[in-house]
Amino acid sequence: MEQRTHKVYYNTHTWLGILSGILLFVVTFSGFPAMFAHELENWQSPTINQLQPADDIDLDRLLSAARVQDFGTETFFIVPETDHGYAMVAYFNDSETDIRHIELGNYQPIDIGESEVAHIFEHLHTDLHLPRPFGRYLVGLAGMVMLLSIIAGIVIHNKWRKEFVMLRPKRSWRLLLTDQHKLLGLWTLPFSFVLAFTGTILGLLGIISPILALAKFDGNVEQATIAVLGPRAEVVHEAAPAVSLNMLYLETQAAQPELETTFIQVDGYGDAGGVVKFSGNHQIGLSNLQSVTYSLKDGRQIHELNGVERGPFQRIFAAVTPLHYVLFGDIVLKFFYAISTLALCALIVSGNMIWLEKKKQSQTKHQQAVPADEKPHILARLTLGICAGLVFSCAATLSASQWLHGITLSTDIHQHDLEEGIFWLSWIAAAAYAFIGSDIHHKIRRYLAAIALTLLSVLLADGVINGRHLLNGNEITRGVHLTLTALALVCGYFSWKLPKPRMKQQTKHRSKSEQASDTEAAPLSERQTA
Amino acid sequence: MNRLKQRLDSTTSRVIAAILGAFLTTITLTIAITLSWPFGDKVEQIFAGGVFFFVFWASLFYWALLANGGLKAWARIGSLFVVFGLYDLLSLTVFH
Repeated sequence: MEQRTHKVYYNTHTWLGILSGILLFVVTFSGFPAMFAHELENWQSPTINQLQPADDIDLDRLLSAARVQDFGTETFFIVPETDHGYAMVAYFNDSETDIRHIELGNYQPIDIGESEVAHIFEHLHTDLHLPRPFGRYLVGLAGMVMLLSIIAGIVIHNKWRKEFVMLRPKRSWRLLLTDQHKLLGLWTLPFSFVLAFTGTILGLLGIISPILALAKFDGNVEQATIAVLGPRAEVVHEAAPAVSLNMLYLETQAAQPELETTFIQVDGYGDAGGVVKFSGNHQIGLSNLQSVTYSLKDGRQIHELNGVERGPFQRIFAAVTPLHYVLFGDIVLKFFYAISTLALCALIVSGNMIWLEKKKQSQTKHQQAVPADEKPHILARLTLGICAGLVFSCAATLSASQWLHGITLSTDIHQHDLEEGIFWLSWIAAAAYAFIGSDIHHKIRRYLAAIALTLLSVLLADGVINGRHLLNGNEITRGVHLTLTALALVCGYFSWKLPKPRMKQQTKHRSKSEQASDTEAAPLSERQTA
Repeated sequence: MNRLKQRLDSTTSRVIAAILGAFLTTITLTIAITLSWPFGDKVEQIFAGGVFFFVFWASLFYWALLANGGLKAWARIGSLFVVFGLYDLLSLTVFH
């Protein structure tokens, strides 16, 4: 490869990392709890956590128990959670949100508590808590940056066979960081490629697909929407008894036996123009573009979407969400995804650290001595404050959420508002802490120790408030306890064992071996230029 | 005139060509694919253009970035933009 080509790819890899590394970390790390949002939601609510799985669901009885006549002909949704023994009936409009939970054992309403902690993490991952669709586009752009960075990374690291197993912990700090960066990059490559690929489609297809739909459907947006998603209800304000949803559910199972219904959308209930759509995931093939739509008046099937049987491009699109959110395989695969996500976070942070080390060394080459009160680079402060701050605030929010279960709040204070407030405040406070003082290495240790202790306090709160002591409870509770304990141990270990920075007073005292190590850590293009 | 040429040939201009120019060209390219894809129904044709749009964007991004100077980068991206833009325009008007 030409030296210039290598340099362009190297510089692109570096600058993409510096400019967007922190955003990439936020999106990637928040994907970790978002991946387990379902499990977190279940664990968060002791009521749901204690329910027994239901064998089947009686939708007509559920509608009656949820008193859906209150919603009139407005659109409402049913989320059947038969595995966890309950169903959710939800109604949203511009000013009002009404969510009702029904236990499937006795079809009685249940109070699942007010915690929204899983949704806080999920919303951060999908929209960065920004207004739609801008947050979604920004997350999509982060995926695009990751993809560009992966491409450049593959091109510049041409000794990948050696780098697959190379880690030299006893040489220089920069060499250790470089080896770790390459090692993690190579081992997580298939995973990060899948995540970047699917994340970019999920985030950015919203920009491009309306343009393409306009071109193909002569500007008729309504027609394009119907072609992709199926028809919506046309409320004619003519009362008509709705066909039994149980019967339509059976018909859906007959039409698409592999469909696992996760979402039922009812539009115009009790009106002659009403429709109901059963949608969900394919149980065998990777597809979440599965749905059957019926007219509520006469039960006639009016639309069917089967992503598995569509053309190759729709087939690829149908597989995007299951691949991104691990809607396939078992819990072991989900844990593999989770570990890879954390490795990817370490990869992003180490990329920034390598650049900072490189910058520091190039400064020391030109100076005789490093000032004792040298201020850390702004990127070091931002990386530490925002990235470690996010991990801390996630742990703090989880912990606060558990303690809040045990506190009786007045009626005008909602738990989810408090949780969101704690999340943002702890993140801002932790980020601000990185800008105080100049000893950044000590700060890293303190952050890690604080994260470990906060994670342990979640377990303590779960034991004290909910009576679920360590590794007691159902498999979801045990899984959450194990994950939190493992994360706390890892953070505690690194807080204790993180290499201490050596006091480099003068550049001329740097040993020959250290200088040789740094030369080795430098990229090919830099060495060739030298 | 020379100053404008200098600016267009700068690294900043090359980067803008790689990000923005490549993005706009990708849109014209994906519209061209959607309009001319011969297989499947209309929805399939939309996805044919849309699903891999970022792969085209990434390819054009590096193609522009690897050019020797901003002018060359704009020439690369601009030529494709004109070709696909014209194709889209003709497909949507004359040959519709």
